[in-house]
Amino acid sequence: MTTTQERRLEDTVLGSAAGRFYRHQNFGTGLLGGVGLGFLLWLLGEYTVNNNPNYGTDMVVTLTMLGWVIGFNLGVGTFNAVLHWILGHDQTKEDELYAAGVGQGKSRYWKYCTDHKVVGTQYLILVFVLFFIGGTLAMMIRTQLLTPNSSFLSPQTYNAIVSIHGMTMIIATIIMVSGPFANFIMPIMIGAKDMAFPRLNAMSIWVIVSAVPPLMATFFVGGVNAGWTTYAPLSVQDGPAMVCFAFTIITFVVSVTVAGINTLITVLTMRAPGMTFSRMPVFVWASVIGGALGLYAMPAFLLDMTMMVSDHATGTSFFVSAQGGSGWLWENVFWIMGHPEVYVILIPPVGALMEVLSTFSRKPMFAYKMIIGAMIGIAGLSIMVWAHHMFTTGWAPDLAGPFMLTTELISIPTGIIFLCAIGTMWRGSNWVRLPMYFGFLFIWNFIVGGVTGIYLSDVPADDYFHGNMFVTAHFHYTLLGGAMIAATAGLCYWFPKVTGRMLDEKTGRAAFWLIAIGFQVTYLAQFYEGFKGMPRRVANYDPIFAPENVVSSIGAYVLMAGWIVLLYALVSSWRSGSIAPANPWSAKSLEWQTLTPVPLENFLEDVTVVNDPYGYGERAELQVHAVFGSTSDAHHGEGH
Amino acid sequence: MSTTQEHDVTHEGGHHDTPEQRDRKELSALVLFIAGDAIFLILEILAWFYLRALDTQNGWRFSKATPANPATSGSNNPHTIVHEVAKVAPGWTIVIAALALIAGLAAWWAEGNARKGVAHAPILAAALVVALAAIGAQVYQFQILPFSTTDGTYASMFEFFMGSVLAHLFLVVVVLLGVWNRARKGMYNEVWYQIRLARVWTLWVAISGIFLAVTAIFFA
Repeated sequence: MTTTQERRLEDTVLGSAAGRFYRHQNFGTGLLGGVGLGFLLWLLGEYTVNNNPNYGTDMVVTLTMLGWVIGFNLGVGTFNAVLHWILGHDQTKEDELYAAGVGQGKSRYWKYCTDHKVVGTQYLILVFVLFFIGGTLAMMIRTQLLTPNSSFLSPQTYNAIVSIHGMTMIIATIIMVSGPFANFIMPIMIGAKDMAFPRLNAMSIWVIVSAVPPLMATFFVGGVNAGWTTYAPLSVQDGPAMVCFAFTIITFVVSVTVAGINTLITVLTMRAPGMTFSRMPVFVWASVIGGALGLYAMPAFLLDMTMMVSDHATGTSFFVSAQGGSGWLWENVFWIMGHPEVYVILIPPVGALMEVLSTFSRKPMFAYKMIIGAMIGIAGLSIMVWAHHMFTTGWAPDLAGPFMLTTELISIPTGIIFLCAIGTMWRGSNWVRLPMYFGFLFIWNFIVGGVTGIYLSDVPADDYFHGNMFVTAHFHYTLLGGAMIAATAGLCYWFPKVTGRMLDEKTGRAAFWLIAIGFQVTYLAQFYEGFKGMPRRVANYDPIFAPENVVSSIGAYVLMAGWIVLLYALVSSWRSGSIAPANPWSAKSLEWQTLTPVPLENFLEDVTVVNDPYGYGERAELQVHAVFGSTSDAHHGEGH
Repeated sequence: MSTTQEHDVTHEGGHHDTPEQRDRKELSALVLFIAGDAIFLILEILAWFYLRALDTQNGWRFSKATPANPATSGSNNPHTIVHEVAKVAPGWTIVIAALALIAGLAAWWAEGNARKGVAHAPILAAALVVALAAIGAQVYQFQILPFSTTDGTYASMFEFFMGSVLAHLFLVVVVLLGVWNRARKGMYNEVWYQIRLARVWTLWVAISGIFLAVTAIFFA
């Protein structure tokens, strides 16, 4: 309902003459800018550098991608604030409110909007799109592998699809929680009015949007044949598709870096009075640790990909052995990024899951400090384990022992978190709603993924398993069965707060069973393929592996059907589900104590935190997480 | 879909922070950014030493000139010409690092003057000019290198270092251009913390440039 006061505010904001030119910018102008500048630089490349017989094409593609990324972001408004700042034109209050989306209805979701809740929602939609693309590619892979000598895809197309499936899913899983929920939910959880840098926040989403088309463009310029890890020298021998791939990563790194900095500074500087570190929800800690780990890992990704573009477009030889380079340089730098990145993916969803377990078990978080310590321990150890990915490459055999040890050590803090999850549920008044279903599934998947990881950390076992389907099954159990299922638990939990609607639980449970059963069938069969020695990344295989592949493909179809049913439940509930109350779960953390839909700056009154948010079943004074202003009214009382 | 502004009529966008709060936030963010950049710098230097130590097929400073790059053409020309790649003379490398340092020190001086409430815009203009000169020197060094990008890994790494310095100097110029223009308009007469941010960033770029210069000069 529109109030008189709100109408007055909208009149002020929308009627202001300030910044009128910039108010026409949106996703469409971004596309125009990207295509326009990309085309101009392509033309420039064609007439200047394309005569180079060795690097001409790659140079032209580099220029085109550069044009696309810069043009898109110019068009959508990413650089407006910087340009204003340089020119000495500070934005007016009306401009800032306009940028925050006041009075623009749904069109603000297509704009460079600074409201953290809009940014979180934009991330959520982007994650859906990426998972849909990655999932479709996965179905193509499983269809190809349904029979031993299938001609559904050519080997080259198969390789290209495997590569882009992998990288699409890696990007999607990195942002699946740190994007939507660390943006939408986390600032509210700490009692902040917004993120520390709202414009950087909007930048992080639009920069990442501009990273997606180059990744899809790889299919049209020869495809990436080297897998998602794009090992050199294979990736150096790839065509210009590798340049597109590298541009995706470089752009992605910019986004993750600014998002990580924003998360850390928000938590460090914008907590409500009384929100001490020991009262912060576990999810906030997980977002901070994931963000910090991302800041450590992403520079390595940037270095590797910049060098790769350089090898392609200028003829340097970082990874070309014939000219002094080394594939080991690529692998080392890649995994210096790659293993911490696994925990950049995993820690935030686990933090989200712990919120779910505590809320639905109606119990305080079990061993809160141990959980935080374990997350920090995982983050610390994760930077010392990268070479376990290289046991079979012949690099530094003397270091295999130490890296095996550090890798096995990481199972200790991981086990602590697992035990704390069990401890939180143990003898609780478990309220088994849809988020808890996914919580239970996470527990099982994470056991299997974790235990099989220990096999791979062991050098002799890794010699056998490394190149085969065992590895594929293992990392799908950890990243899809672990992280993504935990993220889904978080999505079902926070769905009412994000959308203002209740999720259709019945359809959601049908989706859950399809996902749970389909997942086990798909990947347990792949473990069996691995035990039998079936190599991974092959388009055709020996008929002795046929039965397991049939089972795995059928499981994959069931799994995909489950995700589609869940997507249907999400979309239909979002459009026409029953209206959600402010606190449907009677939870205690701050996001549930404010209104739904959440006001522009989250709270109508000042917040003071007085206890941790897990005081379920404790004495009355410990059950109150926060108090609001001097005149706390009814809607703020829920869950206290 | 959630309409977040429905209930809100009382708050005021991003206009809550005091200058002190903005200073604290933005300096903290810059420190984190520099920490990430430092990791990039360390990895760059490690890559230099790694490729130098490996010296794969004597490829660190011996170029095997072939008509086509085997990496992209797949050819393996039997008439390979091997020649030693000349080291880059340290002169311009030192000049560029020194110019970056002078720009950083000038920004520091400007910050001091802004704190005292005396003229600071001309000093920021000087810092900007020096940073532009550093960029000019870096571009010039590109043009006079005694090798091309295809001449082995020493050449590759050296040019990568130069590209890295150039990218950092570009950001220095953007920042100094902004603070100079705003200083010129008198926007830092009372609240000058952005000059401090410019100083911290410019000095960091100078320090990272010195690390790269030392590596390139003494460990070729």
